[in-house]
Amino acid sequence: MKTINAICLIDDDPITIFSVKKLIEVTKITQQVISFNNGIEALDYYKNTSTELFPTLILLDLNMPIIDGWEFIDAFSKLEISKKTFIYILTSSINPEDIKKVDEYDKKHPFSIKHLIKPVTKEKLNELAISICN
Amino acid sequence: MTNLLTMEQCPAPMALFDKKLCLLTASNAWYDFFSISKESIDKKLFFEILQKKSSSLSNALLYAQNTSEIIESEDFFYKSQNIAVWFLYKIQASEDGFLVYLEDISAKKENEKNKIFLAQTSTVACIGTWFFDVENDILEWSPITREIFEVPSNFIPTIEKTFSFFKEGIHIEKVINSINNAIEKGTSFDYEVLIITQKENEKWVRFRGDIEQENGHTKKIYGTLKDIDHKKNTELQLALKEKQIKSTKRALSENKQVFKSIFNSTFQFTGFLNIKGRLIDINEPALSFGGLQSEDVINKYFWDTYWWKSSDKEQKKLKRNFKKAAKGEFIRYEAKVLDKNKETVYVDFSLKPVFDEKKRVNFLIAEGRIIQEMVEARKKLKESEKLHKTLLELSPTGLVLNDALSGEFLDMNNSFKNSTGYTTQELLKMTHLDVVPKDEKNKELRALKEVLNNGKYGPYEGHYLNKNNELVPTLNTRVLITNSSGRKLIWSVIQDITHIKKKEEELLEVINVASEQNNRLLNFAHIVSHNLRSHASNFSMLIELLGVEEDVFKKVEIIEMLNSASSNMLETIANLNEIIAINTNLNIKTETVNLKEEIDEAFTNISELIKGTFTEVENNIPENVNINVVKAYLESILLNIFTNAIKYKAPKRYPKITINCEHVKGFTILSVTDNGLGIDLEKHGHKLFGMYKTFHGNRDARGIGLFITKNQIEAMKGKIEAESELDKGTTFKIYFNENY
Repeated sequence: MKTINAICLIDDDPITIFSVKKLIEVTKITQQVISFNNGIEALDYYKNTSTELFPTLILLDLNMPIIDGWEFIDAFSKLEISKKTFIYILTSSINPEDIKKVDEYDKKHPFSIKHLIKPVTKEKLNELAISICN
Repeated sequence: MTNLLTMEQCPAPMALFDKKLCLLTASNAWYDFFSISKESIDKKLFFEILQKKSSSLSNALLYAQNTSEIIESEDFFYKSQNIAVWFLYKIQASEDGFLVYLEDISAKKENEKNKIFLAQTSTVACIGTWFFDVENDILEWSPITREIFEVPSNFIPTIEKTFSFFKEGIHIEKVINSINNAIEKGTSFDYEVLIITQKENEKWVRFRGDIEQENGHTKKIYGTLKDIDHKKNTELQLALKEKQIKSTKRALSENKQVFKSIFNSTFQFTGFLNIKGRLIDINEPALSFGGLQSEDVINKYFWDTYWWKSSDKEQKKLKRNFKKAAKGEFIRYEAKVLDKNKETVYVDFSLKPVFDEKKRVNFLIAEGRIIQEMVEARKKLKESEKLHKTLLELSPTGLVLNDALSGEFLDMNNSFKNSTGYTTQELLKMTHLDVVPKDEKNKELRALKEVLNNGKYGPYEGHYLNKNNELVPTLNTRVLITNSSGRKLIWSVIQDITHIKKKEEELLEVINVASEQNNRLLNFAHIVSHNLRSHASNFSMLIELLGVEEDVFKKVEIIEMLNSASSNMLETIANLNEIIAINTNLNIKTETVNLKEEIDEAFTNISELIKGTFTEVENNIPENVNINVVKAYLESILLNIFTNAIKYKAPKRYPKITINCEHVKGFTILSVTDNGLGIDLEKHGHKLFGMYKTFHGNRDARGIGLFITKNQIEAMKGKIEAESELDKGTTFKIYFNENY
């Protein structure tokens, strides 16, 4: 089974970070998980890291201080490496407006933006890994 | 002898004759009486003269020779032509002879004669005579002729004067011709002719003349004159009367036809009543109106006839009025009668008494004219007039009549007076432009021009100035009318829309509030859903991990996480509860507080924080500002705003908080300005007051403070606004509703 080179997890909730990290470890879809408490920290990481180490998958929370998920995507799209990246928006919202906005962002940007509704489970992570690797 | 001498001087005529009828002596008056000179006559021969003059007296004297009786009698003689002298004589025989006394009774006799003549003229045909001596041109008239011509006895007739008595024209010509013919040709004449007497009476006479000829020449004309005026007039009158009667008869029969046709063909009902009230005759229209035959009604009491059976009241009314009419009064009133369909119809009914020569009522004319339409139209008109007046007066919409050119007020209803506050008297002295606000005058003039051009303008919104110089918002429609005298007038429908405008504003406010509440509700629903779900999903993930984790220590770690998630969730629920409490106005109790005192108190509560951060506070609130609030909310709001100002201070500056207030449109606005980090409102403005929104990455930021603040302010019907510039500072403006 192919694995993802690295997964970037951006969320301001420590419990989410803890749980998702643990589940990724359990499913073994990647060897490397990097996590950030907000978008600014993540952007700083991307700006200062060489291209090969860029995680293919970003799991992104929306509601965060300083810059929220959407602002992060807008800023991230301005980085040159962004095209190979898959962004999954991690949300507990089942508000159709939010889902609609995800589709809008997907069309607006050259990389794939999808949503992953919490709670995250092993099954969801496995499906996600399969769809990314193929 | 002395006796004889005495006799001579006696003033009365007396004479003494002897037995041989020889005059012995006589009084001077005796000679005068007979117009004989005393000296010239032979006394012995006097008897012979007497015999010629007076046969009766002379005969009486002869008779007296043989008797001693006293003889008394009357006699006359012609003193001259035409003049007879009447006298009474008395013969008394004496020894020597006879004593004769005379008494002149001519005057007495004349009177008697006149009486007789007068009597005769009235009974007998009066024939006067006349005589014309052609040769000597002497005309003589008999007394009757004089009477006919009505001239006095001393009138001296001539032929010329005679002609002048005949009426001009054919009458006088005829007389002149006949006299001429009589003289020249010797023809007699006899005809009827008109004369005009001296007293200017016109009368008919029969004029006749016969001639006496001598040697073929007419010497004399003897004529008669007969007054035939009475006869002639009677004749003429008879002829005239006959003619009149004929034409009257003809006219009568014509009139009768005309009358009959008018009587029966007019639309008017006409009938004749006798003075008892029975119907003598009635025309065809009246009969057919009631569907009746003449035998149904003729000779019946009028009030008992079919027409009047619409009601007892109507019958009684007619009977009552008939009695008045029968006494000579003209009656007219609106009566209700039955037509052939038994429908009640209004008629203009009249009863007209007709009088005879003695001014007594002879019969009565009853007339009727249908006025159903008139009565109904009048009723309708009255109703509609009343309706219009009522509508005008009671209309909640203002109605005003102005002169189109001068703008004078001519009429207005209560509604208009109420909304402008003026009385009728005041308005009647004003013009339209007096109640138009200055800045709308041009607009009004344009509207007026439209009305004059197109006859109508509106509805359009405008304003009237009321008596207190306040603007009254109105919806106006103006219509041009021209009255009967050609004056141009404008009727305006002025709807006072003050309350509508007010309602509109209120409605807008309500809509705003409602939509805001709706938004908040929706937002809240999402918050609830989102936040609870995220906690739930955390639980779910942790429990899944707990299932797969075998390492006991790691399991403990997961359980700690579960604890943490649980307390987070409780906190979230507590926050949501608080929001719900605020929004449902639970435990709400308003009171009036002094703003400055409250602010001072708030700073006292955070005095440690202020000291520790070296925060400068500038409180510019005047002492006297009081606001109605929920005190607990106000404390919470002030604390939140002040601590935020310090929490998000700029790293290179000591914090400074400036507090001001102002009053704007029903709000007391408290503005709190800091010199802190500021926030990019373009980016974050929409979520500044949102729940669980944080912006500065501070560890203790929970994203709930401003959300609660906003909810508390809105619960007190206020609002909050923010102005901010990055790295300069932020100003929060809190609007406290003064009517709360």
